[in-house]
Amino acid sequence: MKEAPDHMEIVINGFTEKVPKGISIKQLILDYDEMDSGMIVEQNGRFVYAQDYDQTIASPGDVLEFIHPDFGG
Amino acid sequence: MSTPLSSEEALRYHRQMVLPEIGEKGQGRLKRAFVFLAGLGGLGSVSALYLTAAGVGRLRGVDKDRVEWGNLNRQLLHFTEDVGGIKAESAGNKLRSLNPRCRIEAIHETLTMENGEELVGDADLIVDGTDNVETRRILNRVSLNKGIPYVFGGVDGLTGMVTTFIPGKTPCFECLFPDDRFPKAPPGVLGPLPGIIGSIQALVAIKFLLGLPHGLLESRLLYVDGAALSFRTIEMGRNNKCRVCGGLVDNGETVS
Repeated sequence: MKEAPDHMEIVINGFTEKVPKGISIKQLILDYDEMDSGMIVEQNGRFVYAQDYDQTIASPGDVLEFIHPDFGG
Repeated sequence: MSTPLSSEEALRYHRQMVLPEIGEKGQGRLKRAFVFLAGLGGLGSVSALYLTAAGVGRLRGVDKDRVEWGNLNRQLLHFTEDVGGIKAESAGNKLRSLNPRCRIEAIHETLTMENGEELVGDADLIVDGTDNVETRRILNRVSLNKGIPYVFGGVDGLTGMVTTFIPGKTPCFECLFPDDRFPKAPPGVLGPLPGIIGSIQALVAIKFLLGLPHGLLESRLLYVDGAALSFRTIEMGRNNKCRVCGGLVDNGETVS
């Protein structure tokens, strides 16, 4: 199947996903309904700070992890 | 000014003193060190045991709780006969028995924004054995205000995290976790996870106290996935928009 020109493939939590080109981390979090979970984001091995979600853009081939923080002891 | 080690100490610490990274000089550094440990539960039991066994000279542990049956699957300082007793007392007794050479100050107290700075005192290092965001924010503020490094650890289910916050050098706790909407319910947890995370915290603490400059998890978040049995680190840059530390504060300003 030919990839839609306005979409790209990225990997989220180990699964390959087709998402719109130029999508922000913030929009991805909204799309995945993770906004209220307090989770943290890793993009290609780097931590993405919450204040930067809206201006951080996903690129083709990006590897993203949405990680729930561990606060138990 | 270093105090020579007794013959008993030389025997007790022999297996670590033969390491080139430690030797008699390093052991002396550990003996002169003062570590503040918040929480004597799953994480704190394990880090306290290793720090005490390694010969850290002074360990101040604070915990407000009593020992419950549900603690015993992972909180290795507390035994069946301790259920119902004060956790700080239970922990203090075990740690003193393990190593009477260490000065163990086990305090039954709630850590608050008001008493945090006094309780931490002039510790060389803060080690996190807590189980909630609120107390970690207190530790973070104390760390920033006093310039004391803070070894964060946390577990949940089959995963865990560790990183070291060094004021003025690395991001702080609230750089990473600014959100207030964290779940309040206590997470499920399998004993070996706090064992692994508490052990790594103790390793980082000992290396820091020895003055070893590498592998302290500065600006790196170690993420342990016990289901996949994988360890990986996430690199962290500066967070200049942090509401607490502003990404870098080493100008003597305090935060509140």
